[in-house]
Amino acid sequence: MYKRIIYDSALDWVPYLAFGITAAVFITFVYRAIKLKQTSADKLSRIPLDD
Amino acid sequence: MTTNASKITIEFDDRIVRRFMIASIIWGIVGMLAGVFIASQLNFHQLNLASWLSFGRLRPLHTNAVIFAFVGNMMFSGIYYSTQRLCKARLASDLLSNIHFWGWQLIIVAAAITLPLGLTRGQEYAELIWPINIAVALIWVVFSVNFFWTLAKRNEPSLYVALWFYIATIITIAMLYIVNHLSIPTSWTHSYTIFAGVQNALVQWWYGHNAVAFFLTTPILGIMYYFLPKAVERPVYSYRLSIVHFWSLVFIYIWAGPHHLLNTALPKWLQMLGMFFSLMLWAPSWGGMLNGLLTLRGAWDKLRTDPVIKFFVAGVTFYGMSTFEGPLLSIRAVNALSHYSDWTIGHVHAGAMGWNGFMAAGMFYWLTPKLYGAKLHSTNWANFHFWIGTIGILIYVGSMWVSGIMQGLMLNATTPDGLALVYPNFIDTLTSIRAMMGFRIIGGTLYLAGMILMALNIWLTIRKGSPVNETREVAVIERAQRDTMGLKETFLNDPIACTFAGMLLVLAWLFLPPGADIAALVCALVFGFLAVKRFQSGHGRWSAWYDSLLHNWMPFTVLTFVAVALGGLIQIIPTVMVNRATNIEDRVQQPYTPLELAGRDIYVSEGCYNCHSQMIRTMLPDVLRYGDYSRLGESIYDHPFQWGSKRTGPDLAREGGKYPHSWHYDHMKDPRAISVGSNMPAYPHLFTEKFDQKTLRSRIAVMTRLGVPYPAMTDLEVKNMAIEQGIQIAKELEAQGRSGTLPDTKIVALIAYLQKLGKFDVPDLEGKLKGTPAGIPFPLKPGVPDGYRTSAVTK
Repeated sequence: MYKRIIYDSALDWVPYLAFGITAAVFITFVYRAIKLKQTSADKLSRIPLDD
Repeated sequence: MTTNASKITIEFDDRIVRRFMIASIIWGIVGMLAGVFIASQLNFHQLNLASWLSFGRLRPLHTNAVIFAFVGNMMFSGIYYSTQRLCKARLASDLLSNIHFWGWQLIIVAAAITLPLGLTRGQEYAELIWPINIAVALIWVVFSVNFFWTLAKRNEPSLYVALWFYIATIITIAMLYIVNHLSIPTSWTHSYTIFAGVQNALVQWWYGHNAVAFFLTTPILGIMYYFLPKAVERPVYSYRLSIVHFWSLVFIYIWAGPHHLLNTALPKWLQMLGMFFSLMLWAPSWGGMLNGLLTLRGAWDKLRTDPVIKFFVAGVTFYGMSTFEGPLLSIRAVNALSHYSDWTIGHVHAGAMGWNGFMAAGMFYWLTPKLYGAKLHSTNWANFHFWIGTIGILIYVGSMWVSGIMQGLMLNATTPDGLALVYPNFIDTLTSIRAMMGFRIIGGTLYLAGMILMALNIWLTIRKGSPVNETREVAVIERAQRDTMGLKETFLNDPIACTFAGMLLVLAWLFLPPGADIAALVCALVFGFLAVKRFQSGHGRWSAWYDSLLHNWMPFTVLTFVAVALGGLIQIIPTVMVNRATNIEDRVQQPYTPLELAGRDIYVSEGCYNCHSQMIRTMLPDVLRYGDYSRLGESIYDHPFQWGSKRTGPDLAREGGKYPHSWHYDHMKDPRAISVGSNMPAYPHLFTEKFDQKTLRSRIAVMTRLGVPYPAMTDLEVKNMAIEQGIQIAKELEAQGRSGTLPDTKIVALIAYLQKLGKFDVPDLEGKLKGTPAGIPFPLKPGVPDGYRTSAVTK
């Protein structure tokens, strides 16, 4: 199994797969951050100052 | 958000914050003093005053003290202070807090005693021996329980982003620490890691790199997101950016470990993966830095007068600078120059002194007046500390850049025809950087002086005031308003089910044998299609699940764990599951004889790996200087691997047989008698101390359990084999004019080991194809599967 991973050209796509997963994660969280309501963002950001 | 009407007054547990803060300052000074001392030893070899004060033993003490004692205690102090405020709740258990504090200090004391005694696992930042490893894991569990219990009883429904960073720290460090410290003991003070060679290298740097990420970075970012807004009295610049910062950083960081092994025998796809993800780290790191700096919008005038803001701004700036430099050093071409050189040392000190040290100082100067109800003794002293510290860092880091680049260029310089080295003598490159090593002492001393000044300033402030535990009236929220998702709701929902099932199918595609992997791929594609359809029909539910992360720690923790586990799984599982006999690049390391193994343990114990690598990279200058490049198969029995990360001295991968025994004998006695200008310590104690025969058999037995092909041997046979080889070496030494050497001394064992370095067998193609012959040959030839070797375990 490992030998295949080292020597087979199939492994060339592992970085692409990793990049794809990362891009999906990144896009998902950017989207969720954008969708966060401004009022919620303001409220959350003020938690440390809420003495 | 609605809260019920009842209000209570709570008293925060600030005593534990004070304790961790004071411990951090004390251990910080100890760790940095050790740093200045070992920097001086690099210039003045005479300062290697005794075996327990030698560079190889003190360097791990320095790194462990700064990372785990200074930054660790600072982190706990900041986390406990901010978590109570962000949760509007007192820490869950005073008992757990106290166990955490005293347990951690005992661990540090144990490390401070064992490391100078040469008791080590021989892996960077993971040197502590196995009983201390267990204590660390237990105390970490105590910390985790205390933290999550506090989250569960909080009176603030929302989880502020700083808490996210703390959660990521806790679960990731637990995972990294446990996996990298898996070992089998041979005695109460010694063990062998279960990983060897390339497996060990990959797991170690997965841990080592992410110790930087999740011990020195994420908790301090959490502290930044809490304390910086408090200090400037305005909210963080962009909460949305902080969300993107968190998830990007946590997800990407975990993949980047292989950048510590560029141009080595590590498979190239892993090297490329490490480099690729390191470069991607630029974006979230700088996003976080800008978010921190822009929090000062409209308050930049405070920078002129407030030392707290000065430290925070400089700290965050150093974070940005060092996280720019890190990816730069991870580019293979740049790494070819920088690796094994002082450039890397400068890089880590920019992070540790600039980012961690300055954030600690800013936090302590901000906390002390509040924790003791007294005005800071002297703002001028704090300002002076800032400037002396900054100048110290710049001198240190600047000199290490010059030193690293200069030595890297000299070591890699070849003649125009590419057939010879311009500087074939390693010592020439060392001599050329001696002045820079001097500046390193000056920079470190200035920084240490600033730390001592801070300790004095805080001590005088404490004397003026008295301990204060803040009390606050908070609205008690009902259980139904926080953590509404239990185990069932956390796991049995579309987003989690789809994520886990998707990961499982992709892993099956990667690891199943031909045929089954195609089936897994088809299943993954069909499943992906169904998941998209389900998302389209239930988009609202998926959104609601994400929104619940902001108010529920359990699903949040699960998702964070998935994020950090994924990168590790894809890199490590293939490497750990490898059948070593099929992955040797046509070379098989010859197993060590009992005496050579004893010598290797001495090599590890003396910390030789701190200055010498055993990895000839796939680069022309390395090959011209040290010999044929290292193959995977040449370290398959090395528990632990000794590839190293710094070359203060030359690489030793092909040292065996290069010089006669007498050369090593004289070199260990007085390195300068052999190599004029060397800064290596002398090792006189090796000539009088005996090597450990008592535990030798158990060491061989553990090695056998780990798959090293030793034949079954009794205690007596092991000892006899060791002594017979010792007598042979002593005779050869006598013939070379070094009479009177006893065969059971450490120097004999060490010579035996050094003469074995680089010895390998060439595989027999027929044997590889046929598999294992009947009976186990010794030494083992290539082609024998790992599973077969278990039958050779010594009974």
